[in-house]
Amino acid sequence: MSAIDRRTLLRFAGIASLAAWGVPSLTGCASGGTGSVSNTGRDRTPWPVHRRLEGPAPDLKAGVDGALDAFFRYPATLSRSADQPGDGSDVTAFIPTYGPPPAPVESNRLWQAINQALGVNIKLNLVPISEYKSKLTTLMASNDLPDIIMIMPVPRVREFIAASCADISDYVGGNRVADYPNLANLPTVSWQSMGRIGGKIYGVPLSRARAGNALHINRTAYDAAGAPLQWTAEQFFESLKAVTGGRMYGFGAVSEDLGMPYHAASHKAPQQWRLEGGAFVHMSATEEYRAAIEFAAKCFQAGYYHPSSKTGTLADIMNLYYSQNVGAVMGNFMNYANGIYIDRVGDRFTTDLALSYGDGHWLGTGLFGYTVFKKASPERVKMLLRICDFLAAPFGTKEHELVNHGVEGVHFTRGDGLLQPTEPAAAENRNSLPIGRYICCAPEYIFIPGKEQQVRHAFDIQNTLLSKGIANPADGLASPTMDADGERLTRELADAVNAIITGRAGMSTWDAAARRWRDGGGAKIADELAAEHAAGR
Amino acid sequence: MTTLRGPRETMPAAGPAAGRRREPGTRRRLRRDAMSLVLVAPGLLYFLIFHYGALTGYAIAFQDYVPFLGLTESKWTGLSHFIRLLADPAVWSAVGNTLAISALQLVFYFPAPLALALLLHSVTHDVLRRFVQSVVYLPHFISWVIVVALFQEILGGAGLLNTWLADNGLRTVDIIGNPDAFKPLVVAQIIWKDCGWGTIIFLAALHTVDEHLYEASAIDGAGWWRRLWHVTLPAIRPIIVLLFILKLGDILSVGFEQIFLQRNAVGPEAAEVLDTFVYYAGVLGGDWGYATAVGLLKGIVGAVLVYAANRVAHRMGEQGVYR
Amino acid sequence: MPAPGPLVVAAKAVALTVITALVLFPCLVVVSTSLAPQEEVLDKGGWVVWPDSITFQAYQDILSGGVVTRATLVSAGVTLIGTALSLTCTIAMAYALARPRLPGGRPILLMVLLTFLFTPGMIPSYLVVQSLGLLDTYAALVLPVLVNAFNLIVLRGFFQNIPEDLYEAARIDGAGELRILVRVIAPLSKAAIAVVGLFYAVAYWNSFFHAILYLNDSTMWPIQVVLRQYVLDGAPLAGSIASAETRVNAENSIQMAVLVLAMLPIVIVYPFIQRHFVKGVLTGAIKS
Repeated sequence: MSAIDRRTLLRFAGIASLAAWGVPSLTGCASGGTGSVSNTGRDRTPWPVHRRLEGPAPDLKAGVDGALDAFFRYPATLSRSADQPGDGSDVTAFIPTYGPPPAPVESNRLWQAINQALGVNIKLNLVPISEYKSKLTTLMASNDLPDIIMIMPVPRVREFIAASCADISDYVGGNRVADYPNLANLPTVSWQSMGRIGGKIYGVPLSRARAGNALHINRTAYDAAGAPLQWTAEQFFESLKAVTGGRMYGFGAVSEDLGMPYHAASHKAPQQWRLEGGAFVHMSATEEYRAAIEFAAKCFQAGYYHPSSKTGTLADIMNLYYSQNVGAVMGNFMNYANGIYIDRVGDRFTTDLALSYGDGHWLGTGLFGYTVFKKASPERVKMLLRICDFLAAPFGTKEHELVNHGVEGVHFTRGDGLLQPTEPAAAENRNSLPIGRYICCAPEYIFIPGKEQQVRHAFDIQNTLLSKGIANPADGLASPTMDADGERLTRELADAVNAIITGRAGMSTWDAAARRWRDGGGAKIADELAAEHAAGR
Repeated sequence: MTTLRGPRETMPAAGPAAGRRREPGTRRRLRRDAMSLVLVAPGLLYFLIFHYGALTGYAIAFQDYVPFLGLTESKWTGLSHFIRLLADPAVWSAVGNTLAISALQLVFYFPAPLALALLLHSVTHDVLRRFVQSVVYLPHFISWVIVVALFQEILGGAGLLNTWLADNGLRTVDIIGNPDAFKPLVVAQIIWKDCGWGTIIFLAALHTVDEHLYEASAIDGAGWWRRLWHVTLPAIRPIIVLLFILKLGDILSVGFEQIFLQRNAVGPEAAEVLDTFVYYAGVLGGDWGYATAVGLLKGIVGAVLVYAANRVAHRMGEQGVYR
Repeated sequence: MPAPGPLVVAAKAVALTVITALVLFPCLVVVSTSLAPQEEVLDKGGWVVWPDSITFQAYQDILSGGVVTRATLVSAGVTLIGTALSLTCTIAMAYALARPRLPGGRPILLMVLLTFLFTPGMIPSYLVVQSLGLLDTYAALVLPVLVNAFNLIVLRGFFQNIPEDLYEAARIDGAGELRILVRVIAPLSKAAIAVVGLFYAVAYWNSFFHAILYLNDSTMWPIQVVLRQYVLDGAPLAGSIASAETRVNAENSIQMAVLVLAMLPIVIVYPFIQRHFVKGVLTGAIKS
């Protein structure tokens, strides 16, 4: 205790003048305010030119940008797509994690192998995903940045990036991305959804499936109810009715959205925004969205939603789905396409994906977040980009296998068309060590070991979903008013929708809520987005 | 004694105060005060560094604060946050909900642990008392996520209660998701979760009651009720008053996570409280200045209440929190 | 004491039975669910009151890999050292502030009270910890919460409640302040000190937010941060469905096992602390 006390005393002298928490090194480049991150009136760096990397041939090849290839079997022969990128230095990275922490590098063979392959010493600053926003805020305030920072949309984060992070336009813009073949292999939509800042490119996207979220349904129960794969609103409603009974409810949702994305997409409502002749029209101003709310309210008030939807977290609702208390629930398309739900449900029932009950599907952004780099010498930034390039090596390469599955004989053995994880993989895996997930990652792919039929099905569903796709034209565009008021406006609107669906308020309250949204800042956001859009996406 | 080495080493901090007056005869008193100041020093240092060192952060309330710019570079906005705050009907609605829940808590949740402690205290069977005592505090350690799930499982639309009612052809009751039931529900939840834990401090207070007094009153033939009223309660009254005043200081905080988890079930009209409001504005909305302004106002309201309650306590001949 | 009437005894018995049942039933469900096989949990709709068969699979899943074991040691160390430091500082300060006529006592007390009402924000606190060079040290889990204003004020209240005669008697015996505190006041306040110590210990054991903010090195994470990661999708603030990120949602049995593991130390330690709540110590002390 005495040592601590003495140190505290000494340090106290140093911080007695705490009034100045400024970040002196930033003065000069950061006082521009929100205007500096706008793309309007700036020269725009061209998006990296997409160049498909030819590795092992997929069994089903994706047709459009952002669609995923599908594989029936794990490729027998792997290709190589990157050299050792590192220079032996330490590289610090701030990334989120969904898993338990990894064992320390000294006793972690996966970490050691990745370090060796990269030729650097990766030091992770892991933050549990639920505290990501808090910790990113303190990181921004602290002026002590790691080399690599994973960014998710947080208000005004673009100003921070423009002021403190490296502009990588000259390294990846247009054809220059060819120096990083794995980054060139990332879908263009992922770059676009990330967006430019002040006309420049600052980040490397963490690419995700364009199919986004879809409805997962208990096909066994819905088959018994006679539900077709392609269904209309009436058929959907009748199926909910038939499935609901006893312990089972036709539909379950998290309390935040009550399944609205599914209803809205099915009614072909815009995903947040629709472009009409250069103007941005918000979903709240459309007839389609109004109809979707009415329909959702009808389903809810008929008693087809599980009552836990009122307070349920995703974990609650998924447990109800697995235990056959809920017949359908929104979730990530990939949870089917990588076999996790199939695995989890086992033989109890057939879990499947459902199409919307109309002609629309809300697409994913094609993006989880993106990685930015601390300002440094061009050599160092290029080295960091080469590390990202290595980590972005696609399925079927040696690099991908190492980063995602570890070392053969240690973390897995090669089985018949699949990799068989060994016991150490229970602790040393990409869940606890998400280097290849959140520093940079490969494009996703459809592969369910040993389930060719489901792979074909997922691939077909993906193509149908994409063909019905409704994108959000505001993805990747900046709006200062959205930064300042977006969260509040979105929440107020969601509260109003929630009240109508659960029957606490009538449909008659909707117009007033939509008007409040528009007058409280929505109209201004629309104008700003239109200006940004006109400046070019 | 070794644990006290720390304070002794920080003695110089008390030096100037100790040397202030050096009249003969008061030497002994001075030595005693010096020792007291040494005892105060580590804690005082802690408060100065970690609280007062960071309290300058309230300057954020007068700024359009951007974390990476810091205090010096962020734009000063004067009282604009406060003006916006007082003009925002959402804030007033949140204040109303907060006060309503707080009032219910003061009436039902504050006395509950005291009542349970008195009940436990009166149990003469030693083993029984210890058993109950070592069971009732357990729910305190169950996280709110699970408490809410458990309540949903029992009282919810598909819960045990309603399933039973429906199976027996009775009318089901709408408790979770009913805005009118929300405030009693959250108070019931907190009583379930924390009542047992709250008894601990009252049990400690009861432990200070001089048993002679019990014996004396027993000889006078006083019943349980009269003993409670004339011996037990007066003896622990200072602690009750103290805890009550501190609770008043916290009147605008009613538990963030619990409310947040159930807010969507009944909507903001019934369930938005100041803490959830600040969470949306600050952490999610990135409006740190505004969120800090709310925090500052909360502190001021708490300070006024503590001051007033303390005065009232003094009038009633109590020590209160400070004198 | 006269024996209470049969009606009172019956009323008490009913009250205690109801309260105990209300508390124990959910606790039983938590433990049973953690021990039931996943199949059974799902068949029974997510919760199990009494498992048909028992498995420790959920516990094995969590404890394999050694990460939890290391985090437990970290938390135990932080809790032990933190509680000792916090108690020492709090007792010392509460005692001194409880003495009347301490020079500067009232302003100091008011200063402490203000910190109870005005808590510093996350960002300023972080910057203080950073400027002290405490980031990535275990001291960052202890020093920023060293003294709790509530605990301090409550303990001071207990000290004030001790009859003034006792102080005077000790003083006449020639005892100094430190001696009075250690020999007279502390033993008399065992119950209050035990309670405050328990509050500190539980706060240290349960804390996770400071660890997440102040420790960048995940190998230093304490138990609560690690355990939370096993049920993360159940965390209320994890955000929308989009962040489901292809992770399997935690099974109910794992969630409940995490809860049991997090509670276990308290359940083990509590009876030892409870001993200090037993009645009658004060009387004995005064008599002697």
